[in-house]
Amino acid sequence: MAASDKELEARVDIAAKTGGQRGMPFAWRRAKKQKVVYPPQSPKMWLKTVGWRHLIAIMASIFAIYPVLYIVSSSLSAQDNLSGASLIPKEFSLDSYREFFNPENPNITPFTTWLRNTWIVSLVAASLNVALAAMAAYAFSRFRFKGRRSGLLGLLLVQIFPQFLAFVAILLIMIEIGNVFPAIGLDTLAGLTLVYLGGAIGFNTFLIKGFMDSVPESLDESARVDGAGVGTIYWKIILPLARPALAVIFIISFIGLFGEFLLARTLLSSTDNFTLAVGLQLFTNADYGAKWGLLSASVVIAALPIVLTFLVAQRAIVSGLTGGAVKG
Amino acid sequence: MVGEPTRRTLNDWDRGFWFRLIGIAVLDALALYATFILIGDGAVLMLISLIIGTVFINWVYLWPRTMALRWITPGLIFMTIFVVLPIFYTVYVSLTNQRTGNLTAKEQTIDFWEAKVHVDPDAEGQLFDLFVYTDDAGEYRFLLANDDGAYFFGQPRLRSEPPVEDAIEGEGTFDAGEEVPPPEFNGFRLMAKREVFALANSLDFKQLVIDTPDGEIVILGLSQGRVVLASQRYVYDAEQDALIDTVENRVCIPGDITATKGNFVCDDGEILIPGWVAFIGAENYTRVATNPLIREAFFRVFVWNMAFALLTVVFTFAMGLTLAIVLHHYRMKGLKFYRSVFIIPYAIPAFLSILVWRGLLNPAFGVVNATLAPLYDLLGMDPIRWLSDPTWAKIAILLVNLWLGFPYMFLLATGALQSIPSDIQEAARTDGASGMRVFWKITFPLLMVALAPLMIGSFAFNFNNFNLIFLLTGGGPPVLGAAVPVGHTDILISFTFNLASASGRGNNFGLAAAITMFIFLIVLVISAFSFRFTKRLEEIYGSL
Repeated sequence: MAASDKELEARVDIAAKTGGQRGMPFAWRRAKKQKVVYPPQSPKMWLKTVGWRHLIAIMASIFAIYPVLYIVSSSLSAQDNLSGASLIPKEFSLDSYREFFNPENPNITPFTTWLRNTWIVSLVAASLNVALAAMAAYAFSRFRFKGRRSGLLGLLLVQIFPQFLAFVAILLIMIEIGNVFPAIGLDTLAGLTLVYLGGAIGFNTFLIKGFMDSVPESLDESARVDGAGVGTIYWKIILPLARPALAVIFIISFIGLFGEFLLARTLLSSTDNFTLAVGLQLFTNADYGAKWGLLSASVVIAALPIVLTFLVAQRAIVSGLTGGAVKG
Repeated sequence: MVGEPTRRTLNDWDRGFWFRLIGIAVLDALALYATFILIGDGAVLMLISLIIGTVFINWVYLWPRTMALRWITPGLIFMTIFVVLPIFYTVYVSLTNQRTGNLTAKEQTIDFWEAKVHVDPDAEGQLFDLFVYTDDAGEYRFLLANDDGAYFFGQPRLRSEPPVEDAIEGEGTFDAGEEVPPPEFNGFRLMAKREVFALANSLDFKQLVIDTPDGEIVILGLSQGRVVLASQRYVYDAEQDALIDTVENRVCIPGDITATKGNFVCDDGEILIPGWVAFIGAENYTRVATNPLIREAFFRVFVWNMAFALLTVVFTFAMGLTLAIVLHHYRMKGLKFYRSVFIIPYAIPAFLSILVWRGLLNPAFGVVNATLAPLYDLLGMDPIRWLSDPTWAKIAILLVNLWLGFPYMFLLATGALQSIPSDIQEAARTDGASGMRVFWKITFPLLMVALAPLMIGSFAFNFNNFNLIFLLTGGGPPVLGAAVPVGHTDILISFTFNLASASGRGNNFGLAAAITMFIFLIVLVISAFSFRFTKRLEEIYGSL
């Protein structure tokens, strides 16, 4: 059924206004809350109804926040070793941060290199991963073709097995590839990126397909009547509407890769190629007690962007994660 | 109405086609380039895969009726190489003896042994003085001269490297009046003793040889070399499939029991290492089951792995649910604040928090023991060795994982609690049920319906929580006297990792892959279990 131009316009309009989220798995439209005022309570009643609840909540808050405050304060302390660290720094100093960013210091462990490696690999792998998964999801969501059903079933079976479990085989494959093409083989960031790229495609395809299924098919039908090809429909209709979901899946993939350790540890062997997880692990295996301030500063610097992203996009990420995605 | 578009304007079709054609042309050019490299290296399997892949891509993007595949193929390729292929390759590796010393094909092993030259230590080798030369390009040449003035000038190589053809670049006798060694020779300059010592720091001179047409010059140290005649020690006899040792006059044939499969075993019992990758069937699996030392390690790890995953889910769920219930009250204020605080452990990348916890739990300097110090004094006990005592290390792992994991369960439980309509509970209260009874008989079962699949997911995730174990304790403290490297807090995946990469004891890829298959099996069982709760299968069959 071809929709008239007017109808089509109206549909696109609605979809644009709701950010394409109407009835979709990641919907997080805020409902307007009305303030309810309850009658005042006596202190004794207050204790009985909510006082003890606050007590438990505060205790849990301390448990949750204490290590975080501790590490932030260690990073700001003039004291550089673990034994002298305390919750409130005796002497405030930014030395640890200065040391982190100091490229001159020959004794410094290359934290900045590791952090840069981690960001590059995670960004490239996560974006390409989502891009390829979105393309595949489009085909599974919109086309009816022979083998579609078995293709989906295959994806489902493949994504049961976490990629990292096959690390022995991946190591041997990368050795083989590296023998012939050293630029993308063992101990290269490009090789690690390729491995990551394959990792979650099956899983993300599934998530994105579920999302695209909820974009009404009448939209692309109308566009097709107007002469749009499959490519145009993908770029002009499906992708813009799926953008919020893709963003969430991208962030979750990125965070997952940011903390990936097993494969990185297996494949990378030279210090300059380490990701942060591999580098920091080896750093803490050595005598980290004396460099506690530096370690704290790097932890804070590495964690801050992720934590901020998490807090800003809290609702979206949490609904994505509880919907089945896995954070590393 | 739904289906492949049947009509496209010519214009649209044309543009897409030319666009694809250019892309394919570039890709084919790259593939051709890679083909030459692969042919040069003789990598047959990779060459075949490359050709199949390239033909497939050409077909997909140039054939008119492959619309869906054009969208799927890019992702499919990466998934095939780095997910599907490794799964099957793992199965294959688990059926072989791949480990340190058995990493190559049989032909290469034979080549290795045939390339072994024998230098008789008692041979009439002539001693020469050694002088090191270098040039601006950083190349090295050795000059060997004896008291009679005879000399060799040539290019050294490491014994492990393949022989160099025409390594000798100069040979002759110095005249009586000539300065020995000359400061310049063939465009190379003589290195000072000091420079030679510096070079010796990065280069083991005793591993160096210079190939001569009829033997080699063995470098004995920084200042001496011996010119000797060398001979090939092992000769491969294809008829007997055996290596003949010409020096000790023995025959070495491929071993046929588990321990020697893939190696030549000589008739005096010596096993020649390295050997090759041999197919050993299910022996890696039967070893886990029958070798008492491996079996014991495996079961120790398995039991703790199960307990760890289960207890983690129970503890995090208990804490998360308790907090959700505590906060779930219409008069509660500051919910947003509590929620933000509780989410912080979850927001920090886990590997960073784990490393921090490692510092906090440091027995001597960590803040945990510093805080507990008054308690230790009171009880008169020694400070707890958190990460090095077998029991306390396990407790530490559960504690840290509680910290890492309770926010997730809290978020889940809060969401589930809010989605339970309150009129059910109110109705039960009106009927006279107590608060506890309403919770256990109504709220809790409803919660479990919503949360059970996610708890199974959490179990599956923690079952393979390599980061936590490896970064916090590294699997340690080690179990003393075990046949394979194993620690008290190892879970299967960290145990496997250590088997595959353990320094010192060598890596045993075959055994590691066999244990990986076991983990695959467990993951499969967990997934099958959780499919009962999810509707993913319906997604496939329901939407058609």
